[in-house]
Formats: sequence, C-alpha cells, structure tokens
Amino acid sequence: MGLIAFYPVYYAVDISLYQTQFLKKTAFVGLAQYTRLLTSPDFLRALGTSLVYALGSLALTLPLGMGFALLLNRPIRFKAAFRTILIIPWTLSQTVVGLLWLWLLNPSYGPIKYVLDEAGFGQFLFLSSPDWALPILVLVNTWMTFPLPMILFQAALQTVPQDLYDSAKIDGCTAWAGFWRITLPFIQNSVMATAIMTTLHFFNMVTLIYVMTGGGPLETTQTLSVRVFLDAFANFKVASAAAVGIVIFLLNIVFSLFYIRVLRRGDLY
Amino acid sequence: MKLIRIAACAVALACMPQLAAAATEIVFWNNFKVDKSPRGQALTDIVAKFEANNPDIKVRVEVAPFATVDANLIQGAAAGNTPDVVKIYNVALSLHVAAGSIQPLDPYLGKMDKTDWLLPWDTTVFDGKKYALPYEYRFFALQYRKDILDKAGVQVPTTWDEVCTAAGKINSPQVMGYGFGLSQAQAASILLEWADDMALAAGGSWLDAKGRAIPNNPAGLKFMQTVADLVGKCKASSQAVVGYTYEAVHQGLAGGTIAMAGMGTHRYEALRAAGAKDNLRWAPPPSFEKGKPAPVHVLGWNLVMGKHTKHPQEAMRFMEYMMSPEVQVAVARAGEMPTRKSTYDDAWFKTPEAGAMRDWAQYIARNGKAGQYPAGWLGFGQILASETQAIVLKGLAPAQALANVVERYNKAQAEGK
Repeated sequence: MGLIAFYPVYYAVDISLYQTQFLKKTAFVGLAQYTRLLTSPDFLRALGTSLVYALGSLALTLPLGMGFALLLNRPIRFKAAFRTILIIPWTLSQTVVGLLWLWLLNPSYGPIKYVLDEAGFGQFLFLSSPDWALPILVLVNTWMTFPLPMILFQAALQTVPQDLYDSAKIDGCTAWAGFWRITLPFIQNSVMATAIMTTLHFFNMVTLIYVMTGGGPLETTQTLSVRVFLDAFANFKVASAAAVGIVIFLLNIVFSLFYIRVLRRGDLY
Repeated sequence: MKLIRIAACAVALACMPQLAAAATEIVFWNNFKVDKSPRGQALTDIVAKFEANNPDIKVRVEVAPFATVDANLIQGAAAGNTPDVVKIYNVALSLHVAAGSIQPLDPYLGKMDKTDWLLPWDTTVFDGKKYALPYEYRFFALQYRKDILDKAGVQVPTTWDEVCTAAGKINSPQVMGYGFGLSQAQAASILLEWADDMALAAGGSWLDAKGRAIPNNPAGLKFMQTVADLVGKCKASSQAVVGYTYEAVHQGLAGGTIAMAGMGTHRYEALRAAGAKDNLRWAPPPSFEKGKPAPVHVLGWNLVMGKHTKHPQEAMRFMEYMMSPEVQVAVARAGEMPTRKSTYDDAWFKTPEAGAMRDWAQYIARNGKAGQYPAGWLGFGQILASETQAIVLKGLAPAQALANVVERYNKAQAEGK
C-alpha cells in the first residue's frame, strides 16, 4: 500500500534533482531545478493562475453545490429526476466537456455567439480573449463540478436532526440563521472534506484546460498542472516537470492543513 | 484419479499441434481503432489478409492516439518494453531517434525497392540509418468554399497578396475570409503546419541544422507579417483565430463560416462528408510569387519498429506488407494518400473518385520536400503560438514577435531538462 502511494512521490522527488534526457538521468543538479523555477516569472505567473483557477472555482462550486443540495433536501416533487439531471455534467469526461463548450463558445458559429448577436451585443472573443479566457474556464469548471459537492452535501444534510430546526423555529430563528447556526456546524466535516477534495482536484486539473485553451491565450490560462503536462509530454523535460509536480504536491498539503485548521475552529460559528 | 490422468494426457495431445504451430504475436500501435469507418474497415481487411497469407504471425492492433503515442512510446522504451510496429507522425521521427525509442530498419530491409517512392528514400534516414517507412502522405493545401467565393465574386487566390484581397472582401461577422488557428491547444498543430510551409515558401526555415531558432530570419518575418496583415491590414480574419484549433477551422469550413483555410489534404474528404459536399474544393497553397508554385513539406504517418521488439523479422514482414501496392490501394480507397509511385498505376486512380488524390500526388512529386523537425519542435509550436497571439491581440510588431520566439525557444533548449 505504501509502495503504491509513496513510490511515485519518491520517484518524482528523485528525478527532480537531476538533469534528464528523455526519462534518463544525465547529471545530478540538486535543487537547481527548484531554484530556476522559483525565480522564473513564467512559473510565478502559472502559480498565480493556478490559485485563481482553483480558488475561483471553489468559491462558486461549493455554494452552488450547497444551494442545490438544500433544494433537493426539501420535500419537492420529481426530486429524483432533478437530481439525475443536475448530476449529468459530472458524468461527462473533461475532454467531452471541453469540446462541448469549445463548440458552444466558438466566436464564429457557436450558439452562444448567435444568441448574443440576436440580443444586440457586440462580438465576443470568449476563449480568444486574454481577459475572459480564465473566468470562462472557471465557469465551465464550476458547471462540470458542482454536482459532486451537491451530492456530498445532500447526504450530509440528511444527518441533521429535524428536531433542531423545529426547536429553532419555535424560538424565532430564521432560515438563514438556521443554516449558519445548525446546518453548517453539523456538516462541517463534510464541508471540510469536500473543500479539500475539490481544491486538490482543481489544482491538479489538466484535461479541461488543455482541451479548451492549451494554456493560452498569451499563457493566461497556463496553470502549474498544465505546465507539468507540457514540460513532461510536449518538451520531454521530465525533471523540470517533476519539480513543478512536487511544488503542486506541497501546495496541496498546505491547502489541506489550512482547511482542517479553519474548519475545525469552533468559533467560526 | 487414473481417469483424470488419462483425460489430462488427451488434452495435452490435442493441444500439441496448436502449441507447435502457435503463431508469433506482434503488437501494432495504430492511430485509429478497428471499426466500421472506411479506414477502420480497410485496416481490418488488411490485417486479416496478412494473417491469412502469414499463418505464423498474428497481429494485435492497439490504439495509440496521435496525442499520446509519442510520450507512450518513449516511456515504453525507457521501461524496456515497446510494441513491435508503431505508426508515428513524421514530425516526431527525430524525437524518437533522439530518444532511442525506435530502431534502424537496415538489418531487416532486404531488397526493398528504394526508388518506388514519391519522395526520396533518404527522407527517413537519420545518421545514415533508415528508421521509418512512409505509410501515408499529406500536405497543407488551400481548401475553400466555392459557394462562398462565387457569391463574393472572387477568384481562388494563388499568392498571399491575393488571399489578403479576396479574403478581405469576404470577411464578415458571419463568415471569416481566411481561417487559421493560433491556439496552443492540440499541440498548436495547425499553426505549426502552416508556419512550417510558409517559411519554406519564403525560401527559408525556422530552425538551423542544429535545431536552434534562426535570429533575424527573413522567412520567419514574412510569416509573422502575414499573420499581422490577415487580421490587421487586410481584415481577412478576426481575433477569434487566437483560440482556433485544427478542429475549429475544420468545422468552420464544413459549416461555411470560414471561406478559405490552409488544411492538410487528409481532411478534404472528411470536410466534404461533414457538410461542405461539392462546395469544398482544394487549390495549391498560396505562394509569395505570382506564377511560382509554393513548395510544401510533405507530412504523414510512418511505420517504425519499436526499440525493444522481440520479433523484428515478423515485424518487418508486416511492415513490408503494409507498404505493398495492394495495401496502398486499399489505404487510398479509404482516403489516405499512398506513398509508393507504383500504386498510382492502379486502375482506381483513373477514376473520378481518385481525382483529388492523383492531383495531390503530382503536386508532391513536383513541389514536395521532406521537413526535418528536431526533438523540440512541439515546444517551438507553443512559443510560436504565444507570440503570434501577441501580434493579433496586442499589436506586437512582427519583428519583435520573431525575436521573442527565437530568444524564448533557444533559451528553453539551452536550459536543463
């Protein structure tokens, strides 16, 4: 078990300390790869892009997932059908989602362009715009991913005793206060686990971004994980890719520890 | 117990002929799967016929998509485990020679005819050794919507100045006059193919013999200027090209939202089948000089032998069969351009169905050249995409964009791997 879990990490650390030629180590260089990375403007820009992408997606995905989970937790008609429909984006692969939205957003023949034209708006470049490409990716990622927290939160919501809400209602508690004072504290472990899981997922995401923009335009959507992919499989700079991968790994650990500390604090509520 | 022993012996005896005659299995990595599509069906028939004629060899076809075949082959070679025969794109040949993931074919070639090819034999020779057999050819041609050009009253352009004028006349929010792609996605493939041929047409190349980007490159500058002019001066395209990939341009041509585009000839039939039908035509790529045909780099799939194949003789027999005129005609009927001259003597090539392919072969024979692509070519494409995007989005001067490409690429190559 340890071998499966830890050997790839060990291998990545090991190879990042060398220069390589097509997967073969050629010279030991110690921390030179990391030094070069940390002083590289491209790396720092990719780090910033990764943070915006991951945290921006998280900021939209969790509330959206929670909102739909709360709706599905009510006694509404056709709940099963709604849940099925809402899950569909999550069932599609990132490649399919990427190709679908590339078509929808095509500035020449996409349906969204057609609707905007009919509504009298001007020409939109969508993914060809360096200002809009990253926000659009965040929105597409949100659309694809929100069903996951929705399902997890819905399961967690069902563990909250109804008596608490009934008692609170008697005491004049509003729905919003009930959510903050009863619901969230009760399901905080699920929220924490979901936040950790989705942040790691977003930070490591490659396919959706690579399919839709390849990291462009003007490298505005090149995240660290896309950079790892390009370094490893387009440029065959395996050591450099491994070094970036290790940086991602450490950042993921930092995020996880941060969430655990913040969400376990009782005084949050 | 006695009965069990007798039964076991009987089974063993029954299996012995099969064991003795057990076929050698070779693994063939192909870029598409065996299915009911024309080329999928053609491959099924080809493999079945080979196995029938060579009962001692069984071919297991595995799908190795274009996007992953190179990385997978290199990783396999590093692990000491490669397939026997692989189909790889010619642009990646240098990469695999450098990575040591394929092996020279010379020890196994026997008396293969070295003259019966559209391009010279040594186009796939590296360091004096033959590494690949060209399986299929294509080149970057001008493909256009005749219906749109006729409606606009423009002639098919033959030079880049004429493209500028014609496409500028057609370009509108609904129809792009000349479509091209600058996206980094899909390995910037449409940009790389276009830039490669443009440099050749301008009389130069992007990289020198050592694989370094050439500073102050007149051919490169002509390409950068063309990009700037198409979007700027000519208004033949829009900034949307920044996000376009091969697929986006393909769909635009098929759907009639792009009037003209440079595309590989392998897309011609697919475009016609996708909706363009007889409205889609092809023309030689525009040149920089009126009346002078533009040279083209011939691209295409090649058959190579994996570095660690355990069955080189059997692998070569399969490769030779795949190069036979009979198979090449089958490949042609499925829409891929054969590489052997003698294939074009087949009666099928006299039919109207083969008209375009016949003309392409003639164009290649007269104007085709083999390109040399170093291991860093894909990385070059990413940098070129970024700087050409800056020309379109930020108005970066073409000369500065070229200088940036040269600096960034040469620096990336010099940095530690």
